[in-house]
Parts: sequence; structure tokens; C-alpha cells
Amino acid sequence: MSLEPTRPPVPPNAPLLEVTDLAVDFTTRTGSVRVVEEVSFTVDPGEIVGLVGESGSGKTVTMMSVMRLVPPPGRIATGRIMFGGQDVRSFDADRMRRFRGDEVALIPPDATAALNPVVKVGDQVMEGVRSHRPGTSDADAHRSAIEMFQRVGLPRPELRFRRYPHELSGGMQQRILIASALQMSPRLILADEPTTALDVTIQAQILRLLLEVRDEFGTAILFVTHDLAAVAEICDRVLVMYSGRVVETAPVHDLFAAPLHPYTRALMASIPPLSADPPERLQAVAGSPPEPGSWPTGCRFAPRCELRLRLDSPEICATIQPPLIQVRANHQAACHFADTAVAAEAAAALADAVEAAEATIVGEISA
Amino acid sequence: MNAFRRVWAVRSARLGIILALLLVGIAVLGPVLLRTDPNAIDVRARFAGPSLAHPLGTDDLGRDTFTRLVHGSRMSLYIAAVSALLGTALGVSIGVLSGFLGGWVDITGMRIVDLFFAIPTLLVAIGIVALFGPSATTTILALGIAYAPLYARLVRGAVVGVRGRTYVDASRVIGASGWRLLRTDILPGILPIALVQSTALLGFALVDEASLGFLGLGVQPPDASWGAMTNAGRQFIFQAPWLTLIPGVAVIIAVFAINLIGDGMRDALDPRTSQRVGDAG
Amino acid sequence: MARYALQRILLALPLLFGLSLLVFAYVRIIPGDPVTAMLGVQSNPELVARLRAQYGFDKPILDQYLLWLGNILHGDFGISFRSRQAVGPLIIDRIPATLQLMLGGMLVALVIAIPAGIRAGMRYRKRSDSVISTVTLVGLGSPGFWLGTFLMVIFALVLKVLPSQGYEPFLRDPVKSTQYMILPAVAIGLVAAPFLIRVVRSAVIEIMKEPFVPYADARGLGERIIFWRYIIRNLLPQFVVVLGVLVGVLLAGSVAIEALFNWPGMGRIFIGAVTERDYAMLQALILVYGLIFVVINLIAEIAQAALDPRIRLK
Repeated sequence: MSLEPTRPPVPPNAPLLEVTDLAVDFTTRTGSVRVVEEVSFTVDPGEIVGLVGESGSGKTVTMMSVMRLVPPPGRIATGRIMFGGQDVRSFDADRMRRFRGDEVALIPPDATAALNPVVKVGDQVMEGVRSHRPGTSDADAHRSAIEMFQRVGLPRPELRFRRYPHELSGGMQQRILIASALQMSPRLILADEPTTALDVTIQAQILRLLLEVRDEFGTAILFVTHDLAAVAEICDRVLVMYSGRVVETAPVHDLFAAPLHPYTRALMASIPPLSADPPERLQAVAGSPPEPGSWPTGCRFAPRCELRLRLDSPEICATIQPPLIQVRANHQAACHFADTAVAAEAAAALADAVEAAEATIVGEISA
Repeated sequence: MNAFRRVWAVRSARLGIILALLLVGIAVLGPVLLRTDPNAIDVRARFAGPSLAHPLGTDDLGRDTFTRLVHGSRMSLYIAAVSALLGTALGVSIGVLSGFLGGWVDITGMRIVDLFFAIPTLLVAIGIVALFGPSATTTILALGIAYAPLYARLVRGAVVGVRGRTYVDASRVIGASGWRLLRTDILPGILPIALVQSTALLGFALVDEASLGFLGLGVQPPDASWGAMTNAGRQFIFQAPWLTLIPGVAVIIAVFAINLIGDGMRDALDPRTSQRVGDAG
Repeated sequence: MARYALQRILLALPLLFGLSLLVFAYVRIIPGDPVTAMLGVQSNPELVARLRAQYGFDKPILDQYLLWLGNILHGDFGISFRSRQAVGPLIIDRIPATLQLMLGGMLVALVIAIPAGIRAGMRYRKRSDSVISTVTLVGLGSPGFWLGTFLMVIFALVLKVLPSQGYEPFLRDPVKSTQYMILPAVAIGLVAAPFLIRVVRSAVIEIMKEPFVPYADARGLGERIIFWRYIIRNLLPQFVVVLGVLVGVLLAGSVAIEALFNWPGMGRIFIGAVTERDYAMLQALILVYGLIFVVINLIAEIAQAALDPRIRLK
């Protein structure tokens, strides 16, 4: 394809993306609030990493920081962002422009709002080509765009090409965004809730598409969502965020088999199992996350933590912020009591519920 | 009042409020405190420049410009206020009726309003003055009628919006009468927009009064209003252009103050300008 | 697209009909009748009766309306009460002068307002925006006649670089015509500019809030493309509607400016007709003004649909 980029090769055996100690502040007239704190993670080439959390957990801000596109009034306060061995925070404006959309691509959550309403869809997709591969002939650009439309499963691409965004359905719009993201063969895709605005059958198709993209092109994906089912379906590794901090990280099967952080366990327990009879009550996580800026001292999840109650509210939970520590191989959790007998017992009790949840997810994939 | 404090918080509006209070003070107290007669003719002192006796000079009949300006402020502000009030009253009535009753009343009403919308208020006002002859009262009537459509569209939109919301339906279910509905649910809902628009209308009214006066279609001599003063100046534009310019400056300052307040109100009342930090996700 | 245009034209017809009714009724709203109002209550009743018959005020209302409408459609706008001349040609005579002023004023307004409005919108709440917005606020409160007088004093009386009065038809002597035109056109332009700046500014601010702008940023599209294809292209449809309102503001401003500079346009005879109670002239002028507005509005609606594909769906 004429659109093959000429890029410096990624050093082998090194992570593609390495984020260290990221902190993001939001500054308004009333003051400054830290919404993301001490977040560190890596993404290897070809890896699909899930970033999970409730709204307000800081997951989207974290992801947008990779592209240095935190929406104002947000600002990256500290942290190191290394991509392919290069320091992203040191890029000047021009390098940043070439970085975005080319080496790293974004798939935003709301496809309808992300598309320019007054420009035809095909022209919009070709804009990327014109910006990042100047010198490509119109014919080549057009051809590659059509190919990409087909690749993402858009029927009759030539027809769609000349349409305006509002003339297409939500699912088609989302596929166009994915096509646009894939155009430049990015090394990393940042997918921000790519399935939330769609209905269930389309969701499954989009997830499958992302998997195929990774398998065929070797693209890594950072997948932000609050949907655990989607995470279980395609992610290799998962990060769980709560109140601006990472509270657990593990390979996906380990996370679902034995979640170590009480918040993660609570999240999983709230997935209603489809196979069994519907439960009497949905097990929501009681309470709501604290407002940024009014975080409690100590562990931020403590006020809602079931484990803490079970252990008779040990003082350490309310006084000392639990660091993210390695509890098992590749499995870290930010809880003082992650590795205790009590935790193990709770985990075992939930293993059945989790298995049932996994069964329903598997059911959705094959459907 | 909590709302007042919020507007005061907007720094630019503060200047507007201070200026406006100053102007109102001048308009209300000025004519009382000033001893000089605005209509005192002194032909020997025609077109005099600034002096101790006449801080802003005199006009073509030797009348003191400063005194006329102070007296004129009262007339101009009075006309502007009453026209804005009239326009508001008419506009709210039309808008509420149209929005409330809906159907063909709404459609025809809004179509007529749309027609008026594109026509600048000054032209409409001139048209109405032409019917009844120029005077202070006609000016008020003309401006009030000219502004009513602007208001009506806004109010009608708000009424329809409030009507659509569920809590209004709930009231209806309980059996509240139409009038009660109007008072308790709809009117409070449209109050903020109405207030902002009224302030804007006040500003327009001052400018239009001046323009009408300049054309000789407003307040008639020997009464002083800022507009009427500029008309006197019009005949002598080459000898004494300041006769037109000075009252104009008064208008500019006054409308500037009013617009500052209006913008401040809009900023204070718009919920979108107060950003919640937690929405960053 | 053509269907939408046709639809708008058809919708404009009842508007025109309503306009004709309004104009027809206008003259008859005043207590008494127009002839008495014009001639005065003490005038000779025979004269009054004769004129009434001559203008057809003694016939039943419906007949009067149909007669009047028929005349209008044939281009006969009646006889001016004052000058006893046909109103139609009198007005048509004045149109080029007003048109020239309006075009000049529009040019001035656009040249000032578009860059200022865009800049203020894109630098929302920053220094540039504050400065521009404040100046605009002052301008909003400046009556047209004041701006005209101010300009006249500086450029014609003090600096003496431009003439303060006078008119030359453009086609006869473009240079001289422009010379006479500069001051009044700039004055009108300055009246219209603040409105335009405000509208452009808020339109730009609204567009910048849309998600597709930061998304374009995320695709690394570069400032140029984002500015022209994302911001400006989305600005155009709203802008076209504003142009319609702009014409209105310019027309209103032209009335005072024409009076000030003695410019022989429609505004001047409008004022004359008002002060002289020449109702035949007034009626015709209001009709012409109304027609202009309906037509401009129509053009703006159609142009907006041409630029914003979403509107055509309705």
C-alpha cells in the first residue's frame, strides 16, 4: 500500500507505550484539582490493554494524556510518557501533529458528534491521508480509503463515501471512525468507549473488528470502558481505576478468576448473570465515588469497601493510601489486605459468580 | 438577592452597575439639584464654548447644554424604561398566549413575529410614529410595539420548553388550573431569559430614542431629551457639531453600562459557564 | 435541494399576502382618514371630498383593497399626496443611491467584523476577546447619526480630506462617487459591525465546543485544515442567515445617515414622507421595504440549505 509509513522501528522486547507516574490537574477559577494521580502502566506492541472504571475514575483523561489532548481546563502536571522509546511530552507542536492520527490514533466514543457535519464522509477520511502522507495522489488516497471502508465491514463503500454523516446509522459512523483511525497504520489505537453508544449486536461486531485489526496489523489497543464484558472479550491485560488511581492490574483471565481489589470484586459481582435466574436485586456497588478534590485520606475506596467492613474497619484503611504492590505474578493491587486469608475466602466465594458471568459473556460472543 | 450577588461577581458587570446607578442618580436628582432652567433662552450667549457658567457650552438658543443634558437624561431614561416595559408586557402576553394555546394561534402568531424579526426596530418605530405624529408618548408606543415581537419569540420558546417538561404535566394531572400553572411553573421558568432580554431592550430603546429624536420624530421642542438635543444640533452641524456629539456620548455611555449589566446577567445565569470538575471522566 | 427552495418560495407567498394586507391597513389605522390627516381638520370640506374620491377612499374596503392590489401588481404605486407625482418612479429614482450606500456599508462591516468576530471567538475569554468584546459593546450603543457626525467632523471639517455632503451616481463618475460615499458608508458599516461581530463570535464559540473540533486535532490534521474545513465551513450556514439581518440593520442605519449627509436615497424620502404625512408615499415605501426583507430572508434561507446539508432533510 502506498500509505506505508516510514517510521523508526520500535526497539524489540520493549514496551510500545510506557506511562510513568502520570498526574493530571484541572484548574478552574476556584482552584486546582488533581484528577489523575500516580498512574503508571505499559502497553506492549500488539497488546490489547483494558482501562476500566466508573465515570469520574480518570480513565478517559489518562488515555487522552497519551496524545497530550487532555480537554481544558485540564493539564498534565507530572509524569513521563514514552512511546517507542521517545519522550512524548518533549515533542514540539509540529512533531505532535505528526504523532497524532499517524502513530497513535483515537476512536472517540460518540461517532455522530465526532464527524464534521458539513463535509462528506469520504472526504473526511481522506483528510488524514492528505495531512500525514502529502504527495499521495488523489486516486491513491481514494482507493485506500475505499479499501479501509471494506476492511471495517461497511457494505457498498463507494456509496457511503459520498454521504454526509447524518445520513448514516450510528454503527456505520463508528466504523468510519475506525477506518479513519486505521488509515495511517497506527502502532497504537486509543479506543474510548467505542461501543457504549451502540446496541448490543453492533457492539459485538465492533469488538470482533478490533480483535481482527490487532491480529492482522499488530496494532496495540488501549481500550477504555466501563463495560467488563467487553474487557473480558478482547483484552489481554486490564487496569482498574478508581478515583484517579490505578487500583488493580492483571492479565484478563487472572483478573476475572481471582480479583484482588475489593472494588474489582464489587464490579464483577454487579454483572447480572444471564444464564441463571435473574437475581432478586441487582448488586450495585453501594454509594458513589468521591468528588475529585474531596478525596478521603487513606484508601479512596474505603468508605464503600465491603472487605473493610468484614475486617472490622482497620485503621490503616482510613489513614494510609495503599500503594500498588505486586501480589502475584503480573498481578498488582492497591489494597492493604489484598493478600490475606480473608481475601482468599471472599475470592473463592465469588469465583462461582464470576464463572457464571464469564459464561454469559462467552454466550454473547458466539451469538 | 442571591441573583444580584451573582451578577455583581462578574467583574465587567460591576462597572455597568455602578455607571447605571450614577446615571439614574443624575436623572432623578439632577433636575432637582440644578438650579438653572433648561429652557432659559439667552440669545447673546449662542454657541458659547465651555465656561464656568456653561460647563458644556450653549446651544443655538443660548440654552445651557449641561442643564439640558441632565434634564434630558430623565426624559430619555423614562422613555426607554417605559418602552422596554411596554414591549416586555406586550411580548410576554403574545408569547405566553402563543406558546400556551399552541395550534394555529401559535403558527400564525409566530409567522407574523418572524416577519417583524427581520425588520429593524427603528423602521417599525418610524412607521408607527408616522401614524400618530411625533411626541414623547408616540415614541414610547412606537418603540414598545417595535420591541414586542423580539420578546414574544423568546418567551414563546421558553413557554413551549417549560410546557414540555414532565413536571408541568404532573401539575396538570393533579388538576391545577391553567392560570395557576402559568404562575407557578411557567413564568418562573422564563424569568431569567426575560430579564436578560429586558435589559437589552432598554439599551436599544435609548439608542432608538436618540435616533428618532435626531430625525425630528421623537420628543418635540422645547422639551429636552438626549434625542431632541441632537436634532437641534443637526441644523447647525457645521458651526457646532458638539451639540449633536455631546448628547450622543451620554447615550453611548448609558447603553454601554446597560449592556455590561445585561452581559453580566447572561453570564451569571448561564449554567454552562460554571464548569464542574468531575465531568472530566 | 430544488424542492426545498420551491417549498420556501411557496411559504413566502402567504407572507407577501400578509404584508400587503398590513400595508393596506396601515394607512387606514389612523383616526379619520388619510386625506383629512394630511390636509388638516380645518381644510375645505369640498377639497377633502374631492381628494377622497380621487384616491378612492369612499369605496367599500374590499373594493379599495382589490383596486390597490391590482395597481401594485401593475407597478402603479399611486400618486404622492404632496408632490402630485407618481410615487413609483420617485422611489425607483432613489434606489440606486441607497443601494450604493448599503453595499459600501456592507463591505465595511464585513471587512471589520469577520476577522474580529472569528478572532474573538477563537481566543474566547483571552485578552483579544476581551478587547474586541469591549469595543463591540461600546459600538452597540453608538447611534448611527453620532458615528456619522463624528466621522464628518474629523475627516471633513477638521482634516478636510473628504467632502461632507454631495452625491454622484456611481456609473457616471466612479471616483467622485466613491469620494462622496466613503464617509456615509463607513458610518453605516460601523453601525452594523458590532452586531455582526457578536454573532460571528458566538457562532465560532459554539462550533469550537463541538466534539469534532478536538477530534480533528486528535487526527493530527493541522491548524489550516481545521480552521477552514471545520470552523469556517460550519460557520457559513449560520452566517448566511445573519447576512439577512445585516441588510435590515444597514437599511435602518441608512435612514439616519442619509438624513445627516443629505444623501439622496430612500431613507431621505422616507423621513420626508413621515414629516409631511404623505401617506401614499409612506405606503409604497413600507411595501418596498417589506418586500426587500421578505426576499432577502428567502434568499438567506435557501442559501443556508445549500450550505448545510442537514437542513434539507426537513
